[in-house]
Amino acid sequence: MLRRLYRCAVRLHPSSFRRRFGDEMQYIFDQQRGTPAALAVMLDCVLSLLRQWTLRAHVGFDLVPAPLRSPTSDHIPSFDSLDKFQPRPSAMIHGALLSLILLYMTVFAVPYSWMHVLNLHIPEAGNPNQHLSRHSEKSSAHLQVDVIPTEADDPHSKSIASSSPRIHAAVLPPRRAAILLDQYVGKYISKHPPANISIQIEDYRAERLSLSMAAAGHLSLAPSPVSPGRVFVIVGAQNSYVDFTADAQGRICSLSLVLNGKVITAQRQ
Amino acid sequence: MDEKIDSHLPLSTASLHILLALAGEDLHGYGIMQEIARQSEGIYRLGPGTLYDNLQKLIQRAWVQELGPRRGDDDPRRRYYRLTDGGRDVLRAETARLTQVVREARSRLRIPNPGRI
Repeated sequence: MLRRLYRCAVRLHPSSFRRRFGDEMQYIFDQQRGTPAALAVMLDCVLSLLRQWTLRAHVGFDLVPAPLRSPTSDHIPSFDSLDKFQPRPSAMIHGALLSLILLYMTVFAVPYSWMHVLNLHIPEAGNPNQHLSRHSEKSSAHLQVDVIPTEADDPHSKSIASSSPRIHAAVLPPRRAAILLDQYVGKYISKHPPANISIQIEDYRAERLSLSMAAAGHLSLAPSPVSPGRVFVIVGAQNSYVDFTADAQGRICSLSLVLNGKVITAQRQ
Repeated sequence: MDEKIDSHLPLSTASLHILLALAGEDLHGYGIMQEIARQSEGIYRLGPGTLYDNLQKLIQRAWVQELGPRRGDDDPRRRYYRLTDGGRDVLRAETARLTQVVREARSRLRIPNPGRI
């Protein structure tokens, strides 16, 4: 197992180094007796790997210094910075692989950030107000970017927001987030089972709503990381959430409350 | 001292020990590691990664020459290395520098010269 790992580590070295010394490194590993010695060699190989890709990246290339051009008519020498440097294919593959891994890790980490700086909604083309509907989330037309800046009265932010009609609230001050939450605020009435549900804003910055209902009391709602514009999960309750539905004009017209396995659909008053 | 050599001094510990190990005879990589361990009485041990990283540098500077595998050797993967004349000059220069350091240290610390004991 350790031998296989070591072979992998050797193979990850730059190709020029690997071709020249890979077999010998493997030979030396085979000469080690006992696990501690093999582990020490393995550790040394990993350090060598880091050293080769960071400090010795230029080794193996035939670096040709950029030729010094003769002075031009204005007597200022010009330098040719695009010399015959060409990365090896293996280096390109390694670089592409590392880039993909970094991209994947970044994309994976974004939803888990404690501060949702970017909140992207993709509404339907031709009707930007329908971004909350179920259908609109599957189609893409343009982006709505909600950015929460630190300065509430940033004049630059206002100019961007007003000058770009296709970007809704491109850079929003904190109170702008409350406007987005305002669209959910109101009374919702269900006939079967009979229930009066009230939605209020609980916290502007945290984008929290509060739900009041006689049978359930006050519940705190937080945007769902999966569908933040439409679904709000009930804080502290498992598998409980509120799913808002918008009409053709993009106005919130009803909600579906899923609480403790029961579903209550209520129309907005 | 040659200015070209002087610009490479002081040598790193690994480079110095590798050159020193090859000063006696041509050795393969594992042999260099064993020779270094012997010379330093087991205090300094090189791993293969460090060894070949430094060997690569020394070969580039033409201080060490790669001879390739030897006929009739136990393992065909083993390649032998030889100290070049340039490498020997660098080793001499480094030895002279270290001798000066030792002399200065003995003088400052008032350690008697071992030859006079």
